[in-house]
Order: sequence, then C-alpha cells, then structure tokens
Amino acid sequence: MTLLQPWILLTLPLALAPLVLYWLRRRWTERRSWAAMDILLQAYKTDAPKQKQSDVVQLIMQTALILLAVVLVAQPVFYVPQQTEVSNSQTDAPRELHSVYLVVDDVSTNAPAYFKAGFEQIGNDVSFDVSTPDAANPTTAQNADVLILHGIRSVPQWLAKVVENRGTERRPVWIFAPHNLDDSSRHLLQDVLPPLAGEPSKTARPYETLNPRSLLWQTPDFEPLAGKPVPFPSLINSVYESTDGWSTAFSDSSTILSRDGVWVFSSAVDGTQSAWPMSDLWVPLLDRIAKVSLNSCDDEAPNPDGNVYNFSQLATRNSQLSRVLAIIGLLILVTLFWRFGRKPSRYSLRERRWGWICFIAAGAILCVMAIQATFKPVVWVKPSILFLVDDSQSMNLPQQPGDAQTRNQAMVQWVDKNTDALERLLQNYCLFESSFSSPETVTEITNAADWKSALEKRSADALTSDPAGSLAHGVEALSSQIDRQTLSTAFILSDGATVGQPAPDSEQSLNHQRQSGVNPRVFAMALGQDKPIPNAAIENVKLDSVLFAGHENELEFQLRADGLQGKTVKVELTEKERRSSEPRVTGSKDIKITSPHFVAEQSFKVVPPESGEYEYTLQIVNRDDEFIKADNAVTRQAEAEERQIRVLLVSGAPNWEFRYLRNLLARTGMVKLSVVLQNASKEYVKEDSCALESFPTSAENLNEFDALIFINPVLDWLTADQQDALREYFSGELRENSTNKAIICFWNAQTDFAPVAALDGRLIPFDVSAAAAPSGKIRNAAAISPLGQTTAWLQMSSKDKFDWSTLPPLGAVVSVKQLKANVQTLLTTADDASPLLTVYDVGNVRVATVLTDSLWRWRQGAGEAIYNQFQVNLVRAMVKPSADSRVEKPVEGAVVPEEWRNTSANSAALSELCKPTGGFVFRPADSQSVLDAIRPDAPRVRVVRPPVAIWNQFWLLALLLAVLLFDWSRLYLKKE
Amino acid sequence: MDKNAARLSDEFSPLDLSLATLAQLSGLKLRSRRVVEGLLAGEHRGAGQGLAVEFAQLRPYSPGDELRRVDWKVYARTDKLHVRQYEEDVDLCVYILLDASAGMGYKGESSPLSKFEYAQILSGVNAYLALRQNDSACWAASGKDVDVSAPFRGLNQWTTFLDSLDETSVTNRLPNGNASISAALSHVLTRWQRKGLVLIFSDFFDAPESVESALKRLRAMGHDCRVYQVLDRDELTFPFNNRTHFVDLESDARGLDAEPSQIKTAYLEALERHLSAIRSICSALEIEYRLAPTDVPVEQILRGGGTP
Repeated sequence: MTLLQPWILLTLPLALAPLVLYWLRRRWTERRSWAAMDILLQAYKTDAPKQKQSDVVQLIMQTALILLAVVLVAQPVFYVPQQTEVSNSQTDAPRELHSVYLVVDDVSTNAPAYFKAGFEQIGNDVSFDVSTPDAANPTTAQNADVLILHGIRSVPQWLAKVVENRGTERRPVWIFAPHNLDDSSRHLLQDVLPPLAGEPSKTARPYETLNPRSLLWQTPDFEPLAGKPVPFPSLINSVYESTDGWSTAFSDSSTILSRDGVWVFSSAVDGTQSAWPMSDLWVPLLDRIAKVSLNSCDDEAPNPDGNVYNFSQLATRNSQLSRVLAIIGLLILVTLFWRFGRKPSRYSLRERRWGWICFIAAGAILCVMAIQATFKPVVWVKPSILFLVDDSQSMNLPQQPGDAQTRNQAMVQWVDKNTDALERLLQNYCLFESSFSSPETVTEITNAADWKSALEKRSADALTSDPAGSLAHGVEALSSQIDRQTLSTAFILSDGATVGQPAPDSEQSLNHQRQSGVNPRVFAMALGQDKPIPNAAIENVKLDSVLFAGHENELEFQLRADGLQGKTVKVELTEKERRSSEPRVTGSKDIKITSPHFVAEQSFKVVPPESGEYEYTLQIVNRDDEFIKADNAVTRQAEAEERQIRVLLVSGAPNWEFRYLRNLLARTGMVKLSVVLQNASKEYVKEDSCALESFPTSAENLNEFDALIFINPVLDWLTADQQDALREYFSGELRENSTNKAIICFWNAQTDFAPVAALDGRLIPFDVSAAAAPSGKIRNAAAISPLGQTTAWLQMSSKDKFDWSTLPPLGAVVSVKQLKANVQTLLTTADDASPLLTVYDVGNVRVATVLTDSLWRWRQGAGEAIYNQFQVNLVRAMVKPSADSRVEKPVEGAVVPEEWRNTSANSAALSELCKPTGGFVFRPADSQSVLDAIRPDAPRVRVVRPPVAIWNQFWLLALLLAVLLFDWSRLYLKKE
Repeated sequence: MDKNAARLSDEFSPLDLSLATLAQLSGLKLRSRRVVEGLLAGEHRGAGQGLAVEFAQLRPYSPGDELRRVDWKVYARTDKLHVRQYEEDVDLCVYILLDASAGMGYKGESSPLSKFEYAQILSGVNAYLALRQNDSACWAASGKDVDVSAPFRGLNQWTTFLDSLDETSVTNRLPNGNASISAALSHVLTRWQRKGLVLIFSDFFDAPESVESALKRLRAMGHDCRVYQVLDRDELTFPFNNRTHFVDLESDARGLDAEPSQIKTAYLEALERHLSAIRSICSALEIEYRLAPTDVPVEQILRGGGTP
C-alpha cells in the first residue's frame, strides 16, 4: 500500500490528534497541596505502570481508529512487485498501439487535435480517427485499440453494443465526462447505457466510484516522480507545482467511475481545454490509457511499469478491504468505550451523556461503512405524459390520397386545436416529447404554444430525420421511456406506417415492463389512411458495369406499384452514350398491375452498339396521378467494350464435347478461340516434342487468355515449363476492366484424378482420396441446386422457371461425396444429387468444374438452344467482373425515403399497441374523447432515484472524525 | 455558663462556638473509663480511698487511725475494732494533644474548615465539657516544637483556654516541616505524669508502627486515651478528575503528577489499609477511636456518630 495517498497525507494530522490531546492534558495540570502524600505515592507506585500501559494502548487504539477510517474511505490500491520470471513465461510481449478512435460531440474544438498530438507521441503508426456520435462507425469503434468518448452529451445507439462486445474482451471504453456530472450525464451513464447493454435500469448496478487516487501512474520522464508509481493526483499536483500557477482543483474534483468495462474519467480540469503540458502530463496520461486498454485489463497481466494491477476488480477488492476495515474499526470503538469506559475511569459512559451520544453516532457511521450502505432518494413528483412524435418521412405523405394536408400538418393542427387542454394538463402533469428517431432525447414541454411552434418548424424542415424511423423505432422509443417511474400516459402521434416489423426485443421489453407493473396507458393518434397512396417505383436495378459491345447484356429491375391495381404501368428504357446528347428509347414494357401491393422482377436486353460509356435510364411514363415521382426513374452507368473473350480450349481427344463446344465458341463472335488438341499418345511423341505441344510454355503467353477450357486433357503430359506456366496462371492479377481469369474443366467419369492433383490440386473441387468413383449410372438427369436457382446466368428462361428435367439425360458423371470447403454447387444430378457443376475461386481465378463430358447430349431433341446458352453463359459468367465491382450507383435526385415504400397508414398496429394498456386509437378530429380519458387531478408519483453510495463519501469520514475528536476533546480537555 | 459559652470577638475564629452548639452538648459528660489521679474531690473515681459518700470496705483498726472512722456497729457485733473505708472521688485531668503539623492545614474545596481548625473546635468542646464538670484541662500542640499549656480548672477558665488554644493554632497553621504526632506524644508524656484522659486530635498520617509505640507508652503510664482521626472529605473520597500536580504539605521536596481517575482506586485502597491499621492499634490498646471527617457536625462526633 502506498502511503503517498493524498487522503492519508491530508488526514495524518488527525491521526495524531489523540496524541496531541493527551499531551495537552498533561500540560494543563492543576496544582494541589496534599497531606496524605505517603498514601498517594504508595497508590501511584502500585498503579502507575498499569495505567501507563493502559494510556498507551488507548492512544494506539484511538490513532488506529482514525487511520482505519481514513484508509477505509481512501481505498488505497495494493500492488505487488512484478515477478519477472513468472510474468515473462506467462505473458506475451506488450501489444503495440495501432488505432485510436475518438468520438466527440463537436469536432471543431481543439480536443481532437490535442488527442491526436498526444497519441502521435506514443506511437509512430497510430491510426487516429475522429467522428461525431451520429456519424461514428461502430465497427471501427469496436476494433480500435483505444476508444475514447470525449464530452458527449447523448449516447449513440451503437455504443451499447460496442461496450458490451469490448466488455467481453475486457477492453475498456474511456469516457471523458464533464466534471460534476450533471443530471443529463448521470442519466446518460446510469440509465441509458445499462439498458442499452441489455440490463433494465431498475436493477442497474450503480457505477463503482474509483478514487482517482487509487490509480497509480508512472512517469519515467517526469523528473520529480521518475520511475515510481504514484497516484494520479499526485502526478497532477506535482506537475502543477512544477509548472507554477496551475490550479490544484484536480485532486478535489476528479472522479473515475468504472463499470462493465466503461471507465468514466471526470475532472474539472480538462487537459484539452486548458492545454496540459504535453510531455509532462498529457502524454503520460494517454500512455496510461493506451497501456490499460492494450493489456485488456487482465487481472494478472503485468503492466509495463513493473506492477501487477487488478484494474477490473479494483473497485470490488477495495470495497472488500473497506468492509474489513470498518468491522475492525467497530471492534476498536466498542473496546475503547467498554474497556476504557468503566467506572471509576473518567471515560465512564454512565456518567457522560455526550459519551453515549458520540459512541452511538460513531458506531452508526462505522456500521454504515461496514455494510457499505447506499441511499435511494425518494421524491414525489408530478406524473408525466409522454408525446412520442413520429418524425419519419412517411409523415410527409398526404393525410388522404389527393389531400394537400400532410400527416405531419394534421398532427400540428391537432396540437393547435387542443392548446388549452394541454395547458390545463400542464398544471398537474409534466409533459415530455420524444421522437421515433432519437428516443433517448426527451424534451420537456413547458408551453403548449411553444411546442406547437416547434412541431411546425419541424414540419417546415421536411423531417430530416433517420430514414428508418418507422413504427418499429417508435416501439423502441416507447420501450426505452416506459420505465420512467412517473410515466402515466403516452401518446403516439404517428401514422403507424412501418417498413419492417417491430423489433422483437422491443416488444419483449414492452411486455416485460408491463409484467413488472409499469403499465402506463398508451393512446395513439392515427394519421393517414390505411389504404396505400397510388405510387409506382423502379427499384433494385442491376446492370453490369462492363458490357460487351454488340452483344446482349441483361438489365434487371423490380417494379413496385401500390394502389394501382388493374392499371397498366409503362416502363421505358433509354440508352444514352455519354458523348452524344440524344438518348434513344431502346425498350418499352407495359406491365399489368394485378394486386394492391404489386412487386415484379423485370428485365431488358441491353446491346451497346459500340464501345463507350453509356447511361441507361429506366422510367415509368404517363403516371401523373402519383404523389411520389422521384422513384419513377433510375439511371445506371456502364462501360461497353468490343474486346472479345480470349479462350484457350485444350482437349485430350476430339470427343463430342470438344467438337460441339469448339464449333459453338468459334461461331460466337464475342469469343476469340484458340485450340490445343492432344496430338498423340505420350509414348508416341517424339523426343523433342510433347503430347500437347501447342500449349503455351510461358506464363506471359498463358496469361493472354481470359479463360482456359480443359476437356479431359492428360495434364501430366505437359512439359515442366508448361506446368509452371499453368501454376503461375493462378497467381496473376485481375484482367483489364476488372474481369476475372477463368478455368473451366470438363472431366470424364473415368478420369484418374491422381496425376491432376499432383500437378495442381486447385483444378479439382474435391480431395482425390475422398471421392472420385465413377457413377454406376450412366444416364444422369440434371437438376439445379438452391444456389443455382439464385444464379442469374442459369436462368434459362426469361419468363418462367426452367425445368432442367426436360433436358435429355447425360452420360456418366464423376461421383463426388464431399467437396472442398469453398466450392459452390450450381447443378447436381437429379437422382443422387451428386455435384455436376461446381464453382469456386482461387485467388483471382474462377474455376468451374463440370463433372461430366457429356453435356452435348442436351443437344438431342430441343435442347440445342439450351446447350448453346448454357455454354456461352458459363464462359461469360466466369470472366464476368466480380460482384464487388458492380456497385449500383443511383443518380442524384432519385433518393426516396425508405418509409415511402409503404405509403399506407397502419392504425391496426397502433391499436395493437394501445389496447393492452387500456388506451385506444383516435383520429385527429376526435380529440375530446382522449383528453377526457386523462384524469385532470392526478396525484403525485413516488419516484425512487438510483441508489447513491454514501459509505465512502468524504463527508461521512469527516463526520466520523468530528464525532470521535469531539468526544476525545471533551474527555481530555474538559475541566471539572 | 451560658455567658461564658459564647465568646464574643471581633475576629473570626474557628473557636467561636455558638450557643446552639454548646446547647447541644448539654447532656454530654467527659468520663474516663479508668481510674485517674486528682487533687480535688470530683466526679471521677480516684486511685485511693478517702472521704466520700461511696462505701468501699472495712479493715481492722490500726493504731493511728482516726477514731471517728471506727465503725462502732461492727465493733458491737464482733467485739473487734474496724475502720470504715470509702472510695476517693477525684477531679479528672484532661490532656488534649493537638496535631499542628502542616498536613493538618489541608482544607478541601467543599469543606468549611481545615483539619486543624476542626481539631481545634473538637478540642475546645472537649475542654468545655471537662471544665464544666470541674475537671482540669490542658493542651499541647505538636508542631515543629511542642507547646504545652498549664492546666485550666473551672468553667470560668474556658475562655482563657480557648484564647490560648486559638493563639497556638494561629502560630502553627503555617507549614512547619515534618512533625510527627508520635514524637510529640512521647514528648508531652514526660510532663503529663498524673494519670488522666488524653485526647489526641490528628490525621495520623504517620507510620502506624510509630503511632503504636507512642500509644503503648501512653497506656503504660496509665492514661486513658481517646483518638480522634481528623480527615478531610477529599482525603476520604479522592473526588478529583482533572490531571493534578500534588504537592506534599509536609515537605516541599515531594510532589507527584498524576491522573486522579487512574489512581483513585489504589489510593482509596491504601487509605483504607492505613485507617484499618490505626483502628487495629487503638483496639488492641483499648483506646477509643473516632474518625472525624471535617464535614460532620462536632456534636455528632462527640456522641460517637462519626464515621468509624
């Protein structure tokens, strides 16, 4: 235990008080002449040694009692010198600081720069990111080595999850909170964070208050305290003294709270505002924060300064120590007053009323410290009414189809009409307002007219809120506010429109609150009409970013239509080459709307005439009756190329598969085909040649091909150079225009895969030892796998689902029981679901494996077109740009709020919320019924505030010391 | 008697006994439990037979006996001459020994008188009782030196007695060194040869052994003796609470810093042992012992009602 604790230093004189009092008493003696001196001396000789011992014991106990009380409240930290041998063997090298994430309310202050400058001095490669709470990236916050929230006034939604996740990894979150945490900050820490972390606020464990004096810091560079772990305030004060003129307010006003991995650092002296000395103080502070964060607060992880700290359990252990000290103090107190309080001693309690009073008072205080009592303030307040305002974009929709008044305006009109009634409610209730988008922000309504003005202003600002603020968020908001002990009534002013379903946990939370007895009545003002507003929209437009000039390319989109049942929507596709000014209509569709909420997948064929940059615009025409026109047109950009796909077809023998495929690719204009055919069996090849003589011998030559197609080649006949070139093909870069390289293999059922695996196992999608027995059945029908059904290029029919069973059966298929981990199966055999077509990626090479060489059998009958389409699609799909490069970029101006996807109000959902609580749904015009339902003379509500620890407060220590010293002063100094 | 009982003086003296006090003594007589020697006929039984009312015995006639003392009735019955003898009634000589050591000057805060002053009153009252019954009284004060007065006789001498006692007290009230009552007793016994009643007023804070030897000698000389141990209430209860520096009244050389509350028990035990020792000595020597706290009325002490 360090004795440098300021608490101890500060109260050390008080520990000497009994000695001082004793000394004063010895000084202040009366002089008395005495006749029976012999008898007196005889008595003194008999009793003096015993009495002196008694005095010493009594003084020791009194001093110890004061010291115990001081240490009890000061809660010093214990540390154990690091045992180098053990720690070296048990722990890894300290992690280095790589990333710091700072979240501040206002990035324009000098705090970010000051933090950044400090952390840059700690590590050279520190990635320092700054963000506001709303714009913060939760992933970055989660992964950052150090996460600091500085001066934030509201808790972002993502923080709770981040805190929880970091808490499981025992990595702290540092919150630099304002000094003397005001109500909002306490609410932030005590009420908001725990519920968001999944803990109901009613049972929320209060934060442990860690005395900052309990935290030891080492400052190797700071001369006065070099190399010694010292309490943080001592460090601060030393810096103050050395820098002349600094305020010493820190040690009296700083607080550190700790709970569940969140460290709240609160101080009157903010280093960023008052510009602490960078090298002396600020950098050591940040260094300490970084080290604590990087060490993950492990109990046994030694800190770099040579001490083992138990940061995570510091508060608990200190409180246990305090509890023990309090019990010892009680025993000392009782001993003092019992052993030294009996007649005829002057400490006789029977003769001292004040002695009894002090004994009882001191005992009570020590009992409070021993049981570590907390105090739950109870207040009686007005009941509150919460108005939960829907600020989602759906509130900007018309109140009724064709109506000029929006739902938001209707809500404001209701408030305006009931201003007097609201003013009357204000006399007996506290009115609050919250919104769907920011449920943690609660504003008190003090004047109904002002509130109406605020709502009007919000209406004028066109509700620039969270686009996802639908009823689901409203339920969450209600859930977060419903545990207010004063809440008697809640009004939901909403249209009830919801994009998704209400979050299940919110519903569960609502039910939980209700089961807990918190059941305020919920009323809802239903805005809007339940039938949808006529609207048609084009969504989910998909178009490759690189198109083949002169060939058909697919443009897919989704048409959504509400309230247009029985009508026809016309969609036009216009193509515009960037350099030309004239768009031209290249396609048009009339789509019949068959249901009130109609959604249909549609597509156009796009054929760019030549290479160049194009804009394709899908537009709904001739719909003047729509309220929302911004979702009628979507534009996509694409680049068209005339370059052909360069394919190298390698075949072992000129079988039917080779012949049909070669002819097909040769006829296809977009493929530039090269063919290598095995010229002889290996044993008949000349010495200077090989069986696949024309196969490229260098990687450069092989990389010229976009795709390699192997049809049963005997690859082990390749020369060493050819084999190396094939291996290097896998490690090449992406092709031009972000296209992939591709290898397509057709394997015969009789193939011996061992040589192939020996050459390069990446060419086969399974382990040779686990598979590869020829299928006993030679007539296999094909079937599409679930993954294949979602693959666009396997959709053989533009209208209906293609029935693969209609194709002629194939020949023998390689039977595979278990594929490699990353292999996707697109086609299988119909009978035993053995893989038929598999796809997987090896670096930038996409590998497709067809586990038969009898696909040509599909050509029999009516399958020729399917065969051709399948083979061409296969080659094109394999060399297609990856999905990452196909980012859909909507054109500016076409952004439509998510809420407008469902324009109908949902009074049923609102009613479902209200009914269990005894409330009901009302229309804006019907306001009197709901106001009549609210009791005008509501009694005040008993509210229990969060518990406050009182056992370790300084004032309690001061009271204890005052009681003891008062009693002892009377004992020693009072003259009788 | 009443006129002489109350002394009128302009100066205050502890011996300014009130009429009321003296009136309370009306039923009291000073008696010796032993045979004493007296020069005059009095109320006390003398050592020899003389002329008196109380018949003692008959003895055969001897030549030289006065014929008037022959009991003729006995001669007529026995035909032998016998002489009537009567017990001799003599006056009592009361010796008052007053401890005038410095320790007797202690006066507690709650006590009206110092121990010496209280002893003076007790002495004066006893002298009054003696002189009233026509006995003689004399006193001795044991200070640094021992002052011995001449005998007083007759109630009209009481005032003179008090005056002389008063003067003595004034002289001896100052601290005058370590004086021992035992030594003083040995000294005065050389002068008080005639058997009488010795009244000793002292706190007896001497060694019990020396007290015992002096009293033994007194008893050997045939004196009757009565011991009054005069103590202040403070000395009996030790009621102090504040830390005190005790200074010896007998000697400036001795002092003690002590916490009274801490040594109170031991002091009271030691005091009780001392008092018991004195009491035991008196009991063994058939000496009447009376404890005289200074806050107890004199009349109560004289009637034997003091703290034993």
